[in-house]
Amino acid sequence: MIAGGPKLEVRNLSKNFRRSKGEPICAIDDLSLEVADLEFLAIIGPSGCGKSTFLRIVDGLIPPDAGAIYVNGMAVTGPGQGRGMVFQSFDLFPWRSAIKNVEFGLELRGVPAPERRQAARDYIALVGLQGFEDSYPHELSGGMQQRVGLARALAIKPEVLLMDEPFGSLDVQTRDLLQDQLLHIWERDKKTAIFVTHSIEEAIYLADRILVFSARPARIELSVTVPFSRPRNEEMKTSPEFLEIRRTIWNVLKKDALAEEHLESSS
Amino acid sequence: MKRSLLPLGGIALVLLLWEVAGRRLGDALLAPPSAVIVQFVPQLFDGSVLPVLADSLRQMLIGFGLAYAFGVPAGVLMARSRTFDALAHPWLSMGIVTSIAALVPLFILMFGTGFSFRVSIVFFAAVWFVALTVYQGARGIDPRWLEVGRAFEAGPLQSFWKIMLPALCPYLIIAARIGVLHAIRAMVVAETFVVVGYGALIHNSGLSVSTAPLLGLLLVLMALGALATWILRRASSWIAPWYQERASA
Amino acid sequence: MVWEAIARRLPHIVLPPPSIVLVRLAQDLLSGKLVVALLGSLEALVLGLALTIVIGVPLGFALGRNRTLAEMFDPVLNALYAIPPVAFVPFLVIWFGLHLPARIALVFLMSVFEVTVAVSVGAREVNPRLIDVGRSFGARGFELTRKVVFPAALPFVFAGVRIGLVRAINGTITAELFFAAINLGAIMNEDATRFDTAGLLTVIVLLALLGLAAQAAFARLEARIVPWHLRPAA
Ligand SMILES: Nc1ncnc2c1ncn2[C@@H]1O[C@H](COP(=O)(O)OP(=O)(O)OP(=O)(O)O)[C@@H](O)[C@H]1O
Ligand SMILES: [Mg+2]
Repeated sequence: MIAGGPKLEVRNLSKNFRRSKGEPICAIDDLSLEVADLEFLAIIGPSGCGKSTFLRIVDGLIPPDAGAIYVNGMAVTGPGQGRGMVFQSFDLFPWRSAIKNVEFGLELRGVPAPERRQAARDYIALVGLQGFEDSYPHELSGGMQQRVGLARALAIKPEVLLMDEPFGSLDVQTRDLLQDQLLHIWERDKKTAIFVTHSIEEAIYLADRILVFSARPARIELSVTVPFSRPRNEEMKTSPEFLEIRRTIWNVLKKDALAEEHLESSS
Repeated sequence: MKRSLLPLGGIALVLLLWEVAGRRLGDALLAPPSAVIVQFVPQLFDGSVLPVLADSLRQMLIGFGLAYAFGVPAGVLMARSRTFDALAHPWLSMGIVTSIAALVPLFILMFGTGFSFRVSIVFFAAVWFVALTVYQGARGIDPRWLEVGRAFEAGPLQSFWKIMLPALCPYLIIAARIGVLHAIRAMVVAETFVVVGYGALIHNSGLSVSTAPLLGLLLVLMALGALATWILRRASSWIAPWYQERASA
Repeated sequence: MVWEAIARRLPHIVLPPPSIVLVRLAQDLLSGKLVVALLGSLEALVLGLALTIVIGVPLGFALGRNRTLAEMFDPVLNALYAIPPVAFVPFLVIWFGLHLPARIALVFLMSVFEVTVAVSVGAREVNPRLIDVGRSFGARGFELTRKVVFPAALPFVFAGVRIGLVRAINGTITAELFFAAINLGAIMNEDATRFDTAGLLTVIVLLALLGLAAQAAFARLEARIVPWHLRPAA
């Protein structure tokens, strides 16, 4: 690793999607950004702006049309090099029990069975699911499923943790609980993280820095550094600074949403 | 290669393989497509095939028509009435798994080998599948739609015509498609067994020195099945354009 | 009940009532006559079905996962499927004669399409997000197929084989009647020449029950092996 260099660097990234009918969709256009080592970055932006696409490219699941991603100064060419992803709709393997889901990444890395079983047990415990090791995903609640999803990503000890609206489909209470749990885990064992969300509060509460993406194609509209110290606590959510940041971000998002609506009604 | 050319490519490849294999094995084992064309096409139009096929199809269609006329109401009834479902479902399950070939000897004893035999075999082959498909379709009708109808003060007759029937439409066509395929199969089973009609042509061509006529007869059946499927798919997109059937179902 | 009521009024040669058929079924099973025939029939059934699984399942996966292959060969498959299997009988006689190989071939022909189509649909509809998860964790090529695609499509494989099983049972009796009569087919032939409708119905009922039992047993097995599939795959 180059001393002082960013952990993750995104340089002039562009991505278009061909469509069966009509013009191709430009999801990302000339996007550049850097994420420092151990930084927790949140990304927020209007629906359909290209956030998931961005994460999928960072993970190496799809190639960019132009530009490149560098982790520790090395170009990303495919999935599975020190990055772990938590997926929006959990996407656990329904045929694997909780612990077997967590073992999945280790299995692919050729970790011997007893060792990976122990590691998976530890991570299941870390996310607070002791006793549910042998349950199948359909026997778990949404919140529990996503905790398994988190454990599955953490188990491969990624240098960069990617999360695509991991709590997006959970109810508010579960969501608050999991936010605290995630913070707790992350503060104990820090790693570089990119967290996509629709919730401004969630972004401020969790992140060191927030990027607001514009409507499609995704560009960086605003970058906010969150001034709160860690560990974070519930009280911060009602502090004047919190509300101020919240309003700043909301104003940018609202402008974009209105512009979008205007565009659609005129076209 | 353009994607739309792929199916043609696949068919061409299979024809080519068949031609090569046919030439190596000889007409007696596997006549190549070229031999089928040369030997079978004249026969197809000399009056020894088409009238026989038409006659067989007529009887098949009568059997299928009866099966359809009987199977559709039975399917609807089973879906709407618990009692009837409880009474009829075991028979439906039995009927679906019953082998048509096994019924043939029985039906010969019961009906002889004539018109009524052939029609009843076809009927028995198709009716279960028609009823089952319609049953599944009618079970899938969302009760809320019927409630909407009641909210708008539709009578039972009106709600049948305006809600049930349109909702059933796609299934009626799928039922016809599945039913026809089973009817054609049953026709061939019955006719080959007692050696009449088109089945007799198949049976007899099996005795000839060249497999070309036999393969030709098979191709005609294939075209027939494809044609029936195509017509009913078109009908489906015409009658129920909002219903997108999943590919290759 | 309707059957019993109608049958009691008709001469037994035309339609024997179910009571007679059931008694006869019990008798013939106990005397071992049907059991021996049934065991004989199993040979072609098992071999034909095995051939279907060995060929149909991999073929289904190939067609389901490879778009080019699917577009090339789906039409061919559909066309072949449209041909009634019994129409192949004279052809099978030429190639395989009248005995076991011909019966196996017909069982195979009658069941292979159902299995191939079901498996290819299952393989095609594997949730693409699960495939992403697999890739994200570094699975590629054969490992991706083995660890993600195959288990995800397994319920469809089971559904396909369950239908294929019933079709194979039908294929077996069809073959025993259309080639050299043997086993259950021979019993039916004899019954037919003696105008023994009760005997014929006995075999038909036995076969239908066998089909239903096989289906039920298979569904049990399925619940054991793919327990996550209690709910339809999302
Ligand atoms: N595989 C694909 N093929 C074609 N278009 C795609 C594909 N994936 C995404 N898109 C398009 O790219 C755009 C960005 O999609 P993306 O999923 O990245 O948005 P998002 O910001 O994650 O939205 P959301 O907040 O709703 O999750 C959308 O307009 C979408 O329609
Ligand atoms: Mg998204």
